[in-house]
Amino acid sequence: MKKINCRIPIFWGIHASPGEFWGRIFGLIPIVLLLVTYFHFSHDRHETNPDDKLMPSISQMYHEVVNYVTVPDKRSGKVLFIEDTKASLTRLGLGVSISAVFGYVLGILMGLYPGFRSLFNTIITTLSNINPLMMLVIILVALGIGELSKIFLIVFGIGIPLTRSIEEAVEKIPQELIVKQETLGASQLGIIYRLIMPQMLPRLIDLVRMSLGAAWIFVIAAEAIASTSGLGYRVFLQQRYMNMSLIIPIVIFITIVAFSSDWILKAVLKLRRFKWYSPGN
Amino acid sequence: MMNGKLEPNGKAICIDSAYHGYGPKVVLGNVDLQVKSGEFLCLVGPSGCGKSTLLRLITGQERIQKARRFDVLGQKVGLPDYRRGVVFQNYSLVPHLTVLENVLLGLKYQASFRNLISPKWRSEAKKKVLEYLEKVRLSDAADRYPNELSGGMRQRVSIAQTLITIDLFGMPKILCMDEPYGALDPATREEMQIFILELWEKYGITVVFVTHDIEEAVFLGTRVIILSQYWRSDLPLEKQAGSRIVHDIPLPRHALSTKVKLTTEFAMTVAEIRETGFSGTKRRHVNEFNLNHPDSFQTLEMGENMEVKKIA
Repeated sequence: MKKINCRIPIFWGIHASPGEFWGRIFGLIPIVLLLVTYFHFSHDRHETNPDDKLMPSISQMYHEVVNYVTVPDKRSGKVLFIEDTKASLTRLGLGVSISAVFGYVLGILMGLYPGFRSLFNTIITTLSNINPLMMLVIILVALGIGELSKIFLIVFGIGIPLTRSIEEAVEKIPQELIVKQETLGASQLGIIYRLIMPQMLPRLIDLVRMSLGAAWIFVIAAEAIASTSGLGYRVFLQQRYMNMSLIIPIVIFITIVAFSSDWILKAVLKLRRFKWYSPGN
Repeated sequence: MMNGKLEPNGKAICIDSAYHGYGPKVVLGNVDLQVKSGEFLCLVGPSGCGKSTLLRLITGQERIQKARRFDVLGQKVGLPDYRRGVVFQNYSLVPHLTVLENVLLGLKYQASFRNLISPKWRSEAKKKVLEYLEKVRLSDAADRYPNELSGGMRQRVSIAQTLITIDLFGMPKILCMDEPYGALDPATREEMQIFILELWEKYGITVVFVTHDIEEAVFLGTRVIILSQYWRSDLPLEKQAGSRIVHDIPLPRHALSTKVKLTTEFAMTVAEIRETGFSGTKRRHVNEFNLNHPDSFQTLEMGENMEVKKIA
């Protein structure tokens, strides 16, 4: 007879339970491997060529970063890192805020009013099927290379999917709940203000959190093609000189910013006033 | 041709020859119903007979497709409004508001802007709501969210929402309840039955109560109506032309005790209803329906007044 094994494995099998300690260790393994591999090969390359640019060492990167973060630019007299970060975050912030307001308002109108749904459904569906990066060219030609075109690209890229998600969520609110409010004497505005808007607020925050990745793509893309400032512009500029010592730190910086904004929005959703919210339904 | 008498004056609900369906399927085929105000009307029937549909038509949630008359409170039925309250089995509460805020909603919806921004009005309204929560024994749960409540508690909040508007504004005049206790355990259910009877007696509202539990209907109602698709004796079942009211009886008002459920008389009424409305084998011609309630009337379609041979 087969012996029954009562020990629960740490790693193998669908019933494995790594626990907190081993779970963390497992999570670190791929990252450590990646770093070790990188620095191993970087070290190798510097053995043969001390000026290697492709896989810079920590000291090379440190040197470039200090230069970028602290030393003012010769021409403008301003620190480039601060200028670039300001420019990128302004574009991102403005674009995302406008998209959020746009999606919230239009999504609620379309979800609640059949008239607005028929009015906007076709155009929103059509626009959402256009690739925003292709649209970038048209936007640049039509609106020029100023800030407006970059913000417009973000609104086009994330505002429209956001509208559709909000619309779908509003449509999922049970008809019974709306009828109940009407029987309590609610006007249409009352229903929007007291039932729909507060219910959609945490969903909007969640949707914004999930669209931030896409928003960054559009910011970097717009800056790469037509800009004279911004983190995206800087990275693509350095690419011409194959200056990996600065490109890698900037990429890491953007990742950290993305990480923290995600974390902040998640923390907002954990507030007591959103205790009732669960992203699933 | 008409059996009984249509007397629309002073009736809470007055429906004459109503037809309603979804796509090709006819759900209600020639429904006639008048209900005097203050009645506790229970609506039973087999699944799919359209009792919830009829209730949604009365609340205005759905628009009736064809009817000679469909009046609620002396007016055409119209869209949902504060004259008709509803209590559903689910989805009655606003998920992002606490119990207190949920009950407060009715006051806020009907308040003027000046009241809404006045701190005095707000604190008084809150005090009032707490009084009502006391009445439905929920004052401990005032700050909890609906997803933290049990089914019975949720139904009590839902009723409190309507109760407070009845008491303060005299509205709604009709309370429509769609299987409100369907998901409750027997003990809570009995407690809630007594609770709704107390309210009904105190405020003299008209209640339309849809349930699939015949015992519940006989216990609560002053009048029980069976809506059933099993009635045509001259047609095979698959050709039935929608549900009709096949049974309509007045019931004596019991004392507020659940002991009555144990009497023989109670059991016989329940058995009779089960037999007439829910059995696909026992079918009768329209002329043989038991429509004993003084308010009941019946319009007949072309040819239905002719003698039709009974199927044994």
